[in-house]
Amino acid sequence: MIDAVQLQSTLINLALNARDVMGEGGELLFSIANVSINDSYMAQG
Amino acid sequence: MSLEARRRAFEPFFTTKPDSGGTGLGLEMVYGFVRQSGGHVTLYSELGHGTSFGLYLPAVRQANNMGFIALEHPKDPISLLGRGEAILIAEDNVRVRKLSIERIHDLGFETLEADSDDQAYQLLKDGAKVDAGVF
Repeated sequence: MIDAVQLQSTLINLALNARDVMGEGGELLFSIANVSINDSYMAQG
Repeated sequence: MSLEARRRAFEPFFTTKPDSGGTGLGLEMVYGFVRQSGGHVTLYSELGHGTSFGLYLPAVRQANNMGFIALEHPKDPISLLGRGEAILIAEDNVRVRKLSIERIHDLGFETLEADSDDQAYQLLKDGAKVDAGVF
């Protein structure tokens, strides 16, 4: 299990970085998915 | 991101915005958190187009409709705490060294420091009592 507070900090961190580098606006997208890390996933790079 | 920024994105105290309050600890924290959680981080970036980060975290298995349980072997954070064991930290970057000492100390270990491998070797030769080293 992961730490909820640290996950929150992490997402805020990434959002702040995105904001800081998109002074004139831009697109910030968060998405979430279940993935299986197997050979074919790795092969997609 | 430039090649330089991509290479050093997760490095402690590396920042592309020192004048606007960048600490260089933001992405370092992201990387540390994900790695400590048993996952990994990917970074893909094209200069002038954008950047994407992938945070891969270990999944939990669904136990029942009420919620989730952890996988069989969750990392017990308690077991990572020290009981005063001595850790020797050899690091030439003074800020990284200080940060390492602070964090390792907070985990319950005593710390010894050296600013080079040579100095660490000298400490050990002089009989410093050390349980483990970070180089």
